Amino acid sequence: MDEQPTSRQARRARILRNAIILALAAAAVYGTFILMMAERGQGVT
Amino acid sequence: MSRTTSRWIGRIAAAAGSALAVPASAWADWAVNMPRGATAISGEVYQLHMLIFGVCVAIAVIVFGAMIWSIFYHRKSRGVEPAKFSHSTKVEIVWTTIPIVILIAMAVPAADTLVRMEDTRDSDMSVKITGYQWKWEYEYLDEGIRFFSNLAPESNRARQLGSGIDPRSVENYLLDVDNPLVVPVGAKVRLLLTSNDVIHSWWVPDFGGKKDAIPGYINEFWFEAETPGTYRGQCAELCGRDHGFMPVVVEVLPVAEYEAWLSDNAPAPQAEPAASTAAAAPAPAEDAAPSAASAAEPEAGSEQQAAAPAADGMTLEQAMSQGRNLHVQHCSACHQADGSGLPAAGFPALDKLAVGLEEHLEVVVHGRQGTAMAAFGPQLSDREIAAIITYQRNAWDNETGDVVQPDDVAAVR
Amino acid sequence: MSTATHAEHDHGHHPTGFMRWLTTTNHKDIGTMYLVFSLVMFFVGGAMALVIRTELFQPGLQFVDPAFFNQMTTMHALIMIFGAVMPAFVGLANWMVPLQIGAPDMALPRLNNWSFWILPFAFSLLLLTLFLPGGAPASGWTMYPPLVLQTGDAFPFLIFSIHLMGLSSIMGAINIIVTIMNMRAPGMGLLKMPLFVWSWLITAYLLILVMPVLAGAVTMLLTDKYFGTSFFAAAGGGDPVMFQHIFWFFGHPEVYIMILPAFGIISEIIPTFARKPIFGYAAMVYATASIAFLSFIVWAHHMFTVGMPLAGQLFFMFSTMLIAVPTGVKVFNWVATMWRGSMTFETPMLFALAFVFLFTIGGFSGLMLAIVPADLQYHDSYFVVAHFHYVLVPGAVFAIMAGVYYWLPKWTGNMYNEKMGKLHFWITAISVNLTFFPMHFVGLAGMPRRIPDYATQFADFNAIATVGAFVFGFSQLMFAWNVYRCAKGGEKASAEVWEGSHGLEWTVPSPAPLHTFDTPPVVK
Repeated sequence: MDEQPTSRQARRARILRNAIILALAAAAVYGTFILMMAERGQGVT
Repeated sequence: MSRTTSRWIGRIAAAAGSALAVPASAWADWAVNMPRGATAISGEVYQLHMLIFGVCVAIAVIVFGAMIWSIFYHRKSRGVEPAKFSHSTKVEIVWTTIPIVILIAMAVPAADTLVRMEDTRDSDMSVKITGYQWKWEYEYLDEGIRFFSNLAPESNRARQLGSGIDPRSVENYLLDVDNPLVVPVGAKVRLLLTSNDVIHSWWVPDFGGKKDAIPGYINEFWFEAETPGTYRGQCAELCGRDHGFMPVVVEVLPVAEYEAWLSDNAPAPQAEPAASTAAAAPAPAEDAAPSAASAAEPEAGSEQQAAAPAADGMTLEQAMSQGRNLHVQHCSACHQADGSGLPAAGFPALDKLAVGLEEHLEVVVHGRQGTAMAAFGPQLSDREIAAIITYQRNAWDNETGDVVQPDDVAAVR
Repeated sequence: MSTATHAEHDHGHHPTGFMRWLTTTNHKDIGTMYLVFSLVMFFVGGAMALVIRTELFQPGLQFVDPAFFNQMTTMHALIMIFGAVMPAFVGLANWMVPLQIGAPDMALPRLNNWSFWILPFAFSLLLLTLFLPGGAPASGWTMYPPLVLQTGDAFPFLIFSIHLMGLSSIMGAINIIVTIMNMRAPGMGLLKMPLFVWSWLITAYLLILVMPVLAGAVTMLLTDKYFGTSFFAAAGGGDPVMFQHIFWFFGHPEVYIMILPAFGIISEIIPTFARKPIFGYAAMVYATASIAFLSFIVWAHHMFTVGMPLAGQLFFMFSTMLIAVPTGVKVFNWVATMWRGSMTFETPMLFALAFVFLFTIGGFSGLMLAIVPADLQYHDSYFVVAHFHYVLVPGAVFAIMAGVYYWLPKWTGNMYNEKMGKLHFWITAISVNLTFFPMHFVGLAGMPRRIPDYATQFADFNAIATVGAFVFGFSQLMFAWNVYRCAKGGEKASAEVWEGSHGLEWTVPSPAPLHTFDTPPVVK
């Protein structure tokens, strides 16, 4: 990750891409977690 | 080591407090360390505690020593030129390895003690402990004895907001109960902990620890007291408004005295046949339970006859006098002795009742979901609940004239 | 901070007054707002602490009802953790991360604005519950069911405000990560970043991983209370202990979220005033990373009394003890940085040194708490209260104050009043010990935590703690006054500010103009 994109557009795109990935990661943690608990509540696991 | 260390702690305490200029003699009885306790396990726990404390003090002396030395000698005002070094692999390996070795040395005795603490096998007797907001219930599984343990009345009076009673004038303030748990000395007592409402935690420091009482769970804990005496503790898990007011008291008696206590408090043999068989069972049926419960309580006589003939009625006068005591004992923590409640904290006033008789019965017997209002159906007898409701419906500004009979209570169960 | 300095930049229309602060996307403005907000919350939470200490001054109930007392302990914790300590660190990150990596601003300035402005709403919701029927939440900040389900009308407000705080933290964390990953000046490799930046990078990952877990846990509480689910209700087949596992899976990393940035600040300050580079830079980075990793496998040491299987207890005891190793490395490295340095003792350095001393004491009691058999005695006693206040007050809070004194001249262009700063330090350092040290003793002697009244043998130490708390609380007014005076004027600061300063933030003029590093600096 040490090399930085040179053009303004390229950097902008990468920032947005990274941010969206991180936000999805957070949402995924939340989602899988609740699903896991709901399944556990029904005795699936 | 332990003796010098505790003297050392005492000195820190003295230094910390000397600012307040308390007379030196007053320091003698300040408790500043974990008690050594009354069981073999609690002694081991104390040793472990002192060991890890000693290790920490030793590390602190080295680290803080180096730091203080550096602060004193390596300062600009002494004209020191800063050195240039910024790492040293050798040193870094050393101070990563040494702590690991120390930790392993600590972990071994700790694990050893833990394994022994967890071994609840071969117990001599079992007591089931149920936490309630805010009292404990003790049930001797083999002897069929069952009773509640509340904060002692003297402490309860003194602890009211603005009571004007100096807590120092009350013996064992907040650490005394009406009915303590009574066990024989030298017996391995296995405790089965559970809760009726929220999570509580049963803690007697002299027995070396605590265990949570959790609804839906039965946790195990055990102790084997080596010397007779009275051991005191408290609920340790936040359990609502009166969390600070549900102490634990255990009375450890010599075996002969314990036997005498047992025969004094065993469930009365003259009770109705149906009730007594039920009381002897490990999990007593609802109706029989309170008869055994009341056996250990002060008003045992009056309630004993009350529990058996559930059919006989109550006059307003009887209900009012019995109901007042029961109200103070079971309801006043939230709704207050004068029925004024604590509206700001969500506990409604009872002195100007708005609820009808049916709802009143329903709420007392089954509780109110999602609030701190417990179901008293499983805790009290029909007659006790009838007395409480009659009292509440006729005391203060309530002049409903309703007289509730035990049968009415039985009908909503 | 100052509006006048950006006159040379013409960025068109600028709103003024309140609208300027509401609509700003500038990292310095937002950092300032975070810091001011956290200072306000620090005083609100502190006032609640003083209510608690007032009631505990003497045995017996003199001032408040036990139910209100429980509301105060709960709100004090929520406000101090989510309202004071965390926003203060985010504020420092907003100000300093772009300056330290040579970036013109945060990568996502509008998101930045949004993550701040959620907070005042979240805390208004939370504080409003004090005026609802049934009062504020009173189940402790840990919100254990079934007790928390007895909360009155405040319950949905509690849940919603926690969701908002979590949202704000997650957005802030995303912003910090993408800024650090994408906006560094040419030549600044990851292992050339200042340690404060490193500690925040790791902290931000922790936030993204655990805040959703907290959000999930409180969502389940909400459905248990209002929608008939039984996640945690034993009567419906649920499991009340499961909540504790989930909560502490969030809660333990949360503890490190509040201390890792503090480590970063201290690692900036000590080299400056020892005039010597940080000892073992790489080891510091790895130690921070291992603490973060370990924080995910130690959670159940908060719940040794719930009745876990023996193997579980042993695992969590060993993993917890292991944390002492990287933490020890950090402390040793700070001492080695001072060793044979050329130290001076300005206010930031005093706070940093007190941090190392007192945080280490909190670390020692933490190590003691890891020993399960002994923990069964310490658990839920005042010993625990003493422990976490040692790591949070002379730990996290001292680091924040050290950081504020350290960077204040850069922010305002003026020197703060050094004499008042030192006085503030000494009064604070003495009173903090007077407050929290006696709590070790009463805890060991058997005083449970979260009680409004206590047995008479605990009276003397509690009286001392209360005196200490009042001195501590009121001496913080000196801090607020000093910061305010410094923002208004005073002796002008140079760009370097400190003789031993190092890093990009000291290459821009003091006060730092509103826009810095429009053309990226080159790091050798």
